[in-house]
Amino acid sequence: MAENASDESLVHQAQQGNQEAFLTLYNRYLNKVYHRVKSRVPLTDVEDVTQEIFIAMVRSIRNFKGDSSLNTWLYTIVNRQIADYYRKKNRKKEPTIEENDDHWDVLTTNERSHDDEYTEIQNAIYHLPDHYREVILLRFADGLPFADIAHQRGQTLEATKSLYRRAIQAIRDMVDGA
Amino acid sequence: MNHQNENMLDDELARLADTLINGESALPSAENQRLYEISQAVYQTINPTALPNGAFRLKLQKELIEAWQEEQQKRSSIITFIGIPAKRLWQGVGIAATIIVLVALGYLLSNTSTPEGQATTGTAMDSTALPFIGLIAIIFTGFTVFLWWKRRR
Repeated sequence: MAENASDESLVHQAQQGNQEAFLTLYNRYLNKVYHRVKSRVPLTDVEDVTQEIFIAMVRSIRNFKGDSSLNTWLYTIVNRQIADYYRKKNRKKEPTIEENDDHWDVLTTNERSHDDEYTEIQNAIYHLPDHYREVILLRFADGLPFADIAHQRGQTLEATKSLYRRAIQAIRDMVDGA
Repeated sequence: MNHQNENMLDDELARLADTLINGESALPSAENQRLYEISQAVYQTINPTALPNGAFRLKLQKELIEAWQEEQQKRSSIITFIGIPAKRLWQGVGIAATIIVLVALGYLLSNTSTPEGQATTGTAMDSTALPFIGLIAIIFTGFTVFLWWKRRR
């Protein structure tokens, strides 16, 4: 299986039942999906949610029509699975420190402080409007340069940079309690 | 703050994000100082350099292979003794059912026709046709039920 085959070609082969093509897609997207999940789900559950996402991908890849990019389609699954995760946990305001860290009692003060900030930021990312969250994740989780994000979103570079700044300001407002 | 100033700050914060990703140090302007700190915290939270560990990768890959095979079995559902994919088989069954219904209807109509001028009363049918149609209906129903059962498994 050519590792550099296009997503479209791999999806087509996977839809024909080619397992290797699917595994190539899995290896291609695992890190991106993992980082997206990590930015919104408590660390202890990141692996479980990531697993659920790829299992959902196995079950629905035949339904992928190619109307959007695989990226977009997969991130829709990511969002749905994360929403499902919180629905199952019956937790609307996520995550909270107490629920988040099973190992909380054994953490040192420095570790607590770090975990506290981590949870606070994660909380803020979770509550961001979608377009704000997306620009941050595209830059930090997917590593896309701003020019590529602008292209993907059909915006000017200036508009994308401005969106990024507003997204960071929104997080600041939540963290600083403005 | 005027528009040009806003653009400069947007540009600067975007550049600062690039330096974060590249692991370089940077000195933000006073206006962007707090936003840069927030950017750093966001980047550390997402932490794209912390990759999923090897054991998890392998475990997930194994789970996916199992799920994949299960899904393939469920979806393609090859009827092994015939060797026809289920989708085509169902298409065939549909066509066969239509033909049987049409033939049966044609047979019934041809046997119920009466000489011109005479009133038609009841349904006249050749008595030898009934067992024949019944047999076809039983075979067809049995085959359909069998396929349905096979698909559900």
